Amino acid sequence: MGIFRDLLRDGKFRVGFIIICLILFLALLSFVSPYDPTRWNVAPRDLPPSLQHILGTNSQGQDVFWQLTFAIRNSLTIAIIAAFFSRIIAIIVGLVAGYRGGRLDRFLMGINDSFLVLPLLPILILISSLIKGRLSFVGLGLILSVFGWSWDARVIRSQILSLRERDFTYTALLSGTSTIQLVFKEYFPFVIPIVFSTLINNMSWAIGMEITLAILGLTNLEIPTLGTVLQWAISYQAMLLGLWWWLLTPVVTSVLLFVSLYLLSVSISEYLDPRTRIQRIRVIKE
Amino acid sequence: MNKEILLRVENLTKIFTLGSVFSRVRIRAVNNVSFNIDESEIFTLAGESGSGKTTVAKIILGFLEPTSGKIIYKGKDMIESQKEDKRSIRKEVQAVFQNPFETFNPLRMVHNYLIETAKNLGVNNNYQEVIENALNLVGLTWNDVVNKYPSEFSGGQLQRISIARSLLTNPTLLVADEPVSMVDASLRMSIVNLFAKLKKEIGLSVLYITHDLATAYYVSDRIAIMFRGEIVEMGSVDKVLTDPKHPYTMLLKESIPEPDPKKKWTKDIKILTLEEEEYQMKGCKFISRCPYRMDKCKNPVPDVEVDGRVVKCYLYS
Amino acid sequence: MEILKAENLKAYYLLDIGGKLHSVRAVDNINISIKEDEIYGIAGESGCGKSTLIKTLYGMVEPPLNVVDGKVYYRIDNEYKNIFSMNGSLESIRWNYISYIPQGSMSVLNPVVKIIESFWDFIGSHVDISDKSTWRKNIEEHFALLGLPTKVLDAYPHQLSGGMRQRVTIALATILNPKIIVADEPSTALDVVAQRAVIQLLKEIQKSLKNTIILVTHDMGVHASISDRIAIMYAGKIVEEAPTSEIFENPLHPYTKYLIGALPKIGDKSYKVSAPGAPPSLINPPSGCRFHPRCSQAMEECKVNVPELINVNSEHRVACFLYSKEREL
Repeated sequence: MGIFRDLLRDGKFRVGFIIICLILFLALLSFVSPYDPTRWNVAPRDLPPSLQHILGTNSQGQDVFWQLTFAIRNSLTIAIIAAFFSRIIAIIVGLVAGYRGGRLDRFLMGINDSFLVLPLLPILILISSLIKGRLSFVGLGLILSVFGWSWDARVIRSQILSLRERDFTYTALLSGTSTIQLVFKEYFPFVIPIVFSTLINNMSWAIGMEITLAILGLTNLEIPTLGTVLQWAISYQAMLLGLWWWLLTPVVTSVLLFVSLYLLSVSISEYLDPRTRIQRIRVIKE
Repeated sequence: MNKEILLRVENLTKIFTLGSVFSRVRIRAVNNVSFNIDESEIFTLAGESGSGKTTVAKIILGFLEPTSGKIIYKGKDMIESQKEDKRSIRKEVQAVFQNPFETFNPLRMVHNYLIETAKNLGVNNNYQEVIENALNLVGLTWNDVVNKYPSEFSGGQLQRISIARSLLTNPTLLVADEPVSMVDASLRMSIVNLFAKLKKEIGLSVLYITHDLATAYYVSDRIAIMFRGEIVEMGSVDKVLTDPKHPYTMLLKESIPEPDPKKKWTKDIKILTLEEEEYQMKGCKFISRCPYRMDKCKNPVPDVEVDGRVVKCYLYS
Repeated sequence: MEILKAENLKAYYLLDIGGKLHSVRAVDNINISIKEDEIYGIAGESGCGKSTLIKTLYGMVEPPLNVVDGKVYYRIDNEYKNIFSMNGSLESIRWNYISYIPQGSMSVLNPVVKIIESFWDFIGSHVDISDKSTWRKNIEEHFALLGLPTKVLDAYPHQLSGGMRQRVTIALATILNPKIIVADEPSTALDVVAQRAVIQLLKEIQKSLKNTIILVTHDMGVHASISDRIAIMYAGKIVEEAPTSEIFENPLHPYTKYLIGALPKIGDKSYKVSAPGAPPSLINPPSGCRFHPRCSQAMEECKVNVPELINVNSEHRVACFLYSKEREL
């Protein structure tokens, strides 16, 4: 596709894309893993990286490399669920509040702002400790989505507010466009860039939250995620014992994941920004 | 020349309340405005920014609700009709706006608006032909326009496409809000000439809103001068602009920079520092700048008929 | 006496869009010479390059705008100095030698401080203002000279009307008595009455200070009112230059004729015609004379060669092959 080729011209996108492809590849490898990630002692413990175990083994007797593949898969799943559902809530709330205005707007923004000022971490800690251990990672994703929409709903709402006053809204109304058609055809092209970049940012945020909760010991530690792997490595004193491969693996992977998501987010939103799109239109046709 | 009255605006008032619970300011953007537009007539509503002319336009188009007053279109109450049957009003009353680049969504191709207008507002099935005809009327063809974004056109071309779009439903009244102020001076006349041609060929009426008295003189039949929400002078464009009676009209006419080096401004003029004060005046709103002001101008001013036009000024009563 | 000169000036915007380099030739080979004690007007449609020209003459050249060729000279102390080789010292002559009133200059004033503060900011960066009381008196005298009420100094910008803000900006630009004032569409965003006040103010200033004003506007009525000479710009080039009365009574270039002919006047209902077509893109301008696609008198030569500005008489220059031929005959 032409869009993809255009994006690839941007160095930031190229780097981010390559890294995310690598990471996704690792996640996919989890489906062919020779080891069951929930079982311990399937391999000799504390072995440094070798040909047999590319990233070595940990103190629980698991192959670090294959653990990583599951960790990435689960972390990404949580992130995608959280980001996806929170986008949907944010779009609905932002659109309705922005376009309708009046009492409905004030009501929705009241709810929105309440969510915004809630101290997130203490509440998550509370919830996690109540459901302790029985929370599947899908559940975690859904809970995170409930808390991740309020900022972006406000952003979308302001965008709609300003679009509503622009002349082309009036032109569309004079063309007999219904409200729904108006929102989808006229406003969405402006809203989509915001949604996209916040989607990716939200994924980063969700992964970070998951890692935080895991380190605090509040998530189901039997399910391998980037956070739980890190937590096990810490609680087994991997640093003191010199088991650097066990500690570094989740850390480096997380950092690479954050960096690539950031690069993708920045380059895609730059590409989708209405102003650069208009510039591109002008030049392509000349 | 007994033309039917197409649009009648009666005692239209619009008050905006600004500010929060603690400090409210009420601005009478439109204050008891009345005028008529005949069939096949170009009627100008002239005034500077803040005169209320755009507010009047928005109310006529149904984008704002008036605080009080009536608008009668073809004998029926328009505000009621807009609530009941928006679609048929939209077919008959269309609009063109000031900024051609804002008129269309920069991220959508322009021809979509033409097709949507034709489809939504119930043009007969052969809308391709109707669109082509409308474009030809403004000097363009479908091929000139199709598959292009607004940024690929010049301001003048976009404005003509905007006019073509407004003609698709064969309207009887076109509200044109500053249609040429953002178009280059050298191209303005082609658009203004277009309005005159449409009036002659298809009997279109145009509510021409502008601050440019020169083009108003060139193209319109009658004119109303608005100042701070009120009409201060109204009549045939010849009389009002060649022999203005209201002091504000005189000031406006004098202030136009004439493209003639032999005619230069002679007198010095004063401009206000704070505009809000004028809105709040109980009597004549022009009192602080009027060289002829009298004590009785502090009271609400009546409309007087002078020499075939209506003037809102105590000088003539 | 000349005070500002531009020789073979070329300033392009170099843009990188979608991986390719495009140059917008906004100022393409301009040669002008501006005198002391005159108001020099630059007229043209939007997109013809006049704003860019004036920024370049002021020395405000920042990427993506680049001066590709040519020189701009100011005559300072009887010496011609090329402003592009002045480096640091160009900053120091701004505001007291040459000042600039930008388009939309109503936003030049800092919205969160009183007007007088903006004055201190501007003046203070050029002159020592430790003696504030004397300077305050100077400012008040300046305001009185310009017919502006001094109470404005203690107000905030948002409290003033648009016209008043613009006049305050002009007062700001002229407080240090600059020899050259460069004004880019100073009255365009204003209402007709405020516009007149602003234009009259500029004229008063020029009359009393006897300095030079370079005025850019597309409004020919404004030029008729105050400009002494007018240069008509089209697609990055100057196509005609003459005293104001010459331009209006005897326009030579076909584009100028269209420009003058399309101006409506009250009391005149004769049919007016616009120039056909639209102004060209500056990225890919037409070959030869840039006006030839729209010109009713275009000849074969016009499509191939670029006409130079030639003197038709001592004061009147035009860039059109219709007139170079006549001269040859």
